[in-house]
Amino acid sequence: MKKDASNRRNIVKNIAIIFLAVMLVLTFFSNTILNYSLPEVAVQYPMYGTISSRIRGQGTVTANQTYQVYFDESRIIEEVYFRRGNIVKKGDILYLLKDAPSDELNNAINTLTTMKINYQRKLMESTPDYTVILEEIAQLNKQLIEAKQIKSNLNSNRALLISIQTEIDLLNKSISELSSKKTNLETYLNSLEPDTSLSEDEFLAALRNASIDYENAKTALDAEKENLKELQRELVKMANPLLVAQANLDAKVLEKSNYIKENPSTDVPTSSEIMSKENDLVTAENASPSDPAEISRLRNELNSMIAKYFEYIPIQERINQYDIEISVLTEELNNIQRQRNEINTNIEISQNRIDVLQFTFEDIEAVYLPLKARYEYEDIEIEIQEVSKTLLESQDELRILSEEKIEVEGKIMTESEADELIAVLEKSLYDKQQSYEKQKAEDVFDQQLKQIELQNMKREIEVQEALVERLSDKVENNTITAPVSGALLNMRYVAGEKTEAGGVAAEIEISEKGYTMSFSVTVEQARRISVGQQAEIQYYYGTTAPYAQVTGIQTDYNNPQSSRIIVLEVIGDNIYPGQTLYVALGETGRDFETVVPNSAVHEDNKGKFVYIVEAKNTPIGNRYIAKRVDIQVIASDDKNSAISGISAYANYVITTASKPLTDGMQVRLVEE
Amino acid sequence: MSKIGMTKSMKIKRVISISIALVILAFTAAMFIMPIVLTVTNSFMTKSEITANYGKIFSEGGSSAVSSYIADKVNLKIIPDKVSFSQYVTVLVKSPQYLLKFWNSIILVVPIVIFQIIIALGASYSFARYKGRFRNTMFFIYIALMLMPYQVTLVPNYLVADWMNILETRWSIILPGIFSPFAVFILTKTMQRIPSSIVEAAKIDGANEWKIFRKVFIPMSKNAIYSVAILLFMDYWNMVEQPLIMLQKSDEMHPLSVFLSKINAGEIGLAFAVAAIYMVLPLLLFLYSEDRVLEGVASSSAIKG
Repeated sequence: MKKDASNRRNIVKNIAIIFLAVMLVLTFFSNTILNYSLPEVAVQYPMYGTISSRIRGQGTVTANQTYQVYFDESRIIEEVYFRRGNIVKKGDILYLLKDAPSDELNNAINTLTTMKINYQRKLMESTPDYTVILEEIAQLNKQLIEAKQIKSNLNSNRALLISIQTEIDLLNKSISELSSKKTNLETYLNSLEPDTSLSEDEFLAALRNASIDYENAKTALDAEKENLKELQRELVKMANPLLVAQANLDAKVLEKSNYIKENPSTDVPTSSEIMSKENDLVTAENASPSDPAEISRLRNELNSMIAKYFEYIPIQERINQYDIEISVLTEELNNIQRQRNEINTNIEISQNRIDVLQFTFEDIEAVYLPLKARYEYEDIEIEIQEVSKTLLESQDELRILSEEKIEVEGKIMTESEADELIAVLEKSLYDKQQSYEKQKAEDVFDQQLKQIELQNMKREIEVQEALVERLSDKVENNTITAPVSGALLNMRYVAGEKTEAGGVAAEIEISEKGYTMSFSVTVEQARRISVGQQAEIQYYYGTTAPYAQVTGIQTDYNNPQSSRIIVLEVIGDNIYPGQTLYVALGETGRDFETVVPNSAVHEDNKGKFVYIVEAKNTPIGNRYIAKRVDIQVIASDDKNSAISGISAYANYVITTASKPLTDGMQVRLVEE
Repeated sequence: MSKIGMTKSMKIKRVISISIALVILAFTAAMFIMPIVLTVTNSFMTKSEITANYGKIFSEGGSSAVSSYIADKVNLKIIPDKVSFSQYVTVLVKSPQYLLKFWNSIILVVPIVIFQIIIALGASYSFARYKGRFRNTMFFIYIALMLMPYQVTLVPNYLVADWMNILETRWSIILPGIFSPFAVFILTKTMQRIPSSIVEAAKIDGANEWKIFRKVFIPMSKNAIYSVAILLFMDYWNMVEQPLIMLQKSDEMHPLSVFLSKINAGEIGLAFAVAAIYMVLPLLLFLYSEDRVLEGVASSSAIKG
């Protein structure tokens, strides 16, 4: 128990030590870890500086008006005389074209050819064709006549249908029989295995010999089979006498046995016993002194024995008689059995012979049957062909009769149905005739339209001919010239390229219409600029410096909230489109006590403010806190602002921060 | 009749009474253990889940720190929807202030416990061994002081600290703690139970007062010392009023218990994690000396009385 408690205490102690150690380590490094999570800020002192309120900008000079040189043919450029930015005069050749017909001319010629062909084709179009419709009318007339005939022959058609049906039934039966016969013949033919190894002469001789052998073997086999049957019949006949003889013998034996039982021979002495007794008597009589009692007893016994002996003689004779009778009956039975055995032997002989004959017959048959098959094969083939031919003929006949039957069935109807059919056909015929008449009338109108169309086509051909002629004339002009003077803003094609019909071949900025430039400023700057204000062009090293004048202040659609576009007209010599000019607007700079970068100044609904850094001493080192200070911006330019509200060089001002700041937030200073 | 002589009806009555007692005890145990379970499980909830469930407590104060959903009533939720260690990461890794406050707690509590026991051992030995004229009066004053709530002595303590010029320093908390009468009372009662025959035997063996104190009284009061140490640790580990009064302007010296009392809506989640961490040390201390504390408490008639 005490040991357990000690162990437990040790474990708890270790856990406590580990816990405290972990807490200690975490505390030790907490400052480092925390520093990584704080926003990093860059700071600087507010300092003495200059704020320039001049607005500077740069822009590219563009002409006020641009002229686009169009060309309406697709032709290949052979040479280009000017490049983009070149100054051209009116009439200068811009492009030299290859001396080849334009695509438009080729297309126009092709179109003209097609139009002429179409005109010819239209002229040649034949007059309307009514063959089909007339054919249809004739057909309908024919059907109407047939319908009328059907109506008049209704009864005879019914009789005809019955006779056709009878013929069809007979034919079906005949076809069925023929099919069956053909199937049987084909089956038999398939079962034949003809011997084709012999030549025709050999075959006939072999067939003849085999036929004789086959018939002889068959006759011998059949005769032996008949003989066997005869022997078997005789064996059957023997059965009854055998049974009778056996029964007689059994009866006689039984009778003898009963007689012996009734007359037993137990007390009957034998002759030897009598002789012995007689000897005993003689011996007793001859003895001296003789014993009369003994002699008397022996005599009596001898007499008794003799009496019994003679008494048994007739019984013994009867028994002997029985034995004689039994031996006679046994003889009879033996005779019958002997005869039966003889027949059985003959049967066995006959069966052996049959087996031998059967083997012989099968051998002969194996030779004979293929030969016979060859002999029969051709005949059966011919017979099958004949049967097939007959069958096909019957089937054809049946088909014809079936069609005839269908036709006749179509004619089987009631009188009212026939009337209805006639009415329908008459209506169809009438409609068709009406249609024919209408078609004829429409065709006359179409002919008139066709004439008008032909006239139109002819007129279009004349117009197309004129176009071809005009385009052919243009081919002779091989240049594209400048229609106005100015700087080339764009030359679209290069040598070898094909012009696009109706496309712009070149763009010229017209020099007489003046030049403009523009640049973007902040809204604050834009407020200090007015239309008509003159701008100084800087970094210009020519003899007579050009100048610019503000002609408009427009919204900058890329940044409508905070930017505006200042548009200036550039006036002076040596100005050309594409030139970049630097301009300055407004007054020169002023000096201020407290200047901070614009990035340090923030604004919210309470006004403008900056964050200053305050250091705080803590047990784990200095902590830097961002503190909000409200200020007023006295003046500012693109980069810096002059402010009031804090003193120069008194506090660090946060200029940039890695995260959004709030008042009182801990920060860390960026490493220099 | 069973072999112990109880009838069947008596048996049934006994079973019923035990069952009722068990139910009442289980309910009471659940009531006591529930805050601890809630603190531990809720410390693993996400910030939004905690705000949603407990934010109502703070939302009436109009805190602007709460921007997420808050339920209409406070939900006591045991199992978090999603287990998150973010509160622990914030407390242990991202914010050194909580760790510093933890060490503040240790810096304040450990000296108080150690020195109070050292001083109390001497005082208790005196009360137990010597029968001077003012002994009972003095001991009565001690008991009277002990019985007073801390809030009553707070103002005199503050005035004394101000007079001593130790306000806004840790001494203003440590010194009153060291001289607190609680340990003296308990140890005196324990030492008074040590038989005088043992002291006499020691004397016969040639032991002087220091040896008797060191070799007899301290070892025989060991369990009571453990008990007192644990109770003192718990008491001062959870102190709130003293730092709030004595270290009014020195937030950086406040112990973690003060932070726990000042939590606001934005930090409820952190409060659970801080509380869970804050529980660890007292718990380990108790587990370390559990059997001795129980023995000490059981053997101390003072506590019993």
